[in-house]
Amino acid sequence: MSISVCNLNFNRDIPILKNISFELKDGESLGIIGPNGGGKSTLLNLLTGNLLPSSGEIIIDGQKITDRRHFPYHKISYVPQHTEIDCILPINVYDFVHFGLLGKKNNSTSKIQEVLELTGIDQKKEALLNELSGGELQRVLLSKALISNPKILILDEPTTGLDSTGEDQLLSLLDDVQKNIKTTLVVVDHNIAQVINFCDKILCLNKTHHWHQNKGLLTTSVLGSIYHCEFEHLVLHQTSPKDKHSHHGHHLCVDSDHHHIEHNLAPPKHLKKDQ
Amino acid sequence: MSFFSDFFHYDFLQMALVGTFFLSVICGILSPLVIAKRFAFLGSAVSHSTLLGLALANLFLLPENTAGIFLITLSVTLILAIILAFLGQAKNIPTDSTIGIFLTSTMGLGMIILSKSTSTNTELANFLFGNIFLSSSSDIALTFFILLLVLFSIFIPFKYWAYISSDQKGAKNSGINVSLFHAFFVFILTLTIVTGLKMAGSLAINSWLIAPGLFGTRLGRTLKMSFLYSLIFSIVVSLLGLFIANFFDWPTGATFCLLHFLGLIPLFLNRTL
Repeated sequence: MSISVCNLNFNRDIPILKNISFELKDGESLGIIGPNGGGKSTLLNLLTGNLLPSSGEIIIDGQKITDRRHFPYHKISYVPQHTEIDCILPINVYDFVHFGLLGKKNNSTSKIQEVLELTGIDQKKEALLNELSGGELQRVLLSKALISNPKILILDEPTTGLDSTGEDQLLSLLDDVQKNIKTTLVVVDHNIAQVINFCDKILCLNKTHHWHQNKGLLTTSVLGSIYHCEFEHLVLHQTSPKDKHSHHGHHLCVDSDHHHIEHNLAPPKHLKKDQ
Repeated sequence: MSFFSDFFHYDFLQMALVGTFFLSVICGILSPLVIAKRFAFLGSAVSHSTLLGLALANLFLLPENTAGIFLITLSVTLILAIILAFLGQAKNIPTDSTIGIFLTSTMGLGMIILSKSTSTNTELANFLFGNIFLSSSSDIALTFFILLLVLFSIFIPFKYWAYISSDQKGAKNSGINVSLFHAFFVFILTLTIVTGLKMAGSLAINSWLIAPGLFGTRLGRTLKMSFLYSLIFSIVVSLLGLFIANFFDWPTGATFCLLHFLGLIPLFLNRTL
């Protein structure tokens, strides 16, 4: 399912998002990175129907989003940060995953076991949520999101609180999920290197300043202009099987006054993350 | 005076027994959700703000007009609860601070109004601890109506309540009208508190809405078991409290509060729960 965002603006007294445009085709993945307070969560809230844009268009599967009542909730699954889950009630993994079917058109429970096996958490289906580790809870949240067979999967900082092994496992799992279910993915995360490696497209966001192009064109200088800091030790790495094309030439960086700044880019290098 | 046999001989005791049973079932069902939604302090604020409604009702109506007093108290408390729920969502002020100042200010205003009316200290004591032995048949009928409302509205969409309580953001993004569920819960909580005011009093109804849920959610290993334990705790402790209050001639509301605490002691002592 495709997502098309065109000249999206969102204001709350001051502009929060300005002239954001990107397009995701069916089965593609978009990684959204940027510093805290840069508008990532606002953009997620716009994509999940919690907020409506001040101007501009969000088109999901050809349907323009104009109000919350007609938002295609049944086509989209959202994975919140696992720290947002309240484990006071004794809810086990199976029941919690079942919640993912509530409010959806397809509410058959027959898929629960299959999804739990896909996410590798089937051995713990009787365990209570408060007995799980951060990584396991993230898998449970992913299972709940997948149970309704979503066309679009939106993840809010899925690697928060996970160690590096947990991050690798989760992203590898997401890769498997995308191959199996062919869902369109939108991932917001702080782990720049992981997101750049994993996603097809990258959106760097810092308030009204943003960059969006094919990730092959992303350089540390672009990241520096978005984060307003140096990225001397971050080496952008392109070993993902998804990166089949190399890109040469120019890319655009849009500043807060919407001036286009051109950067000359060297051909992308196949580099490894600094150890 | 005997522990049980009095209840076979006196109508007012039978009325109190039925009223206690109905109220304990209502609170036994609502309590786990109060705990899960972290509404314990909000429930306390709502129960104490009933004093303002009660004071206003006393100002305009005669004490004999119980239906009128109930309606005014309910209306004022509902308005206060809605304002409180709305203020609680403001992100620039911590929710507990909002609730704390709301609780004290509404009680203060209620006390000022009461000081200008003909009410006595006995009425204030009744407000705080109630007297279930004074339950009338209309109180029982109203409690039964709320019991039916709670049974239908909690158990039919049971999974929705559990989902919203554990993952509010996820539920909202599934297209579930979380605000509607939230508003309905505040409404039913207020209705229960105002109804229970005369029977249990402000403090006891608050204890009734917290203790069973705390017991159930700590002890239960599944959703259904946690609600069942909460229900059993609520019924057993309440009926025992009624028998003890009658036998020793203790105030009923105060007895309920004390027994709720005693029932929770094993939880506080056992760290594995």
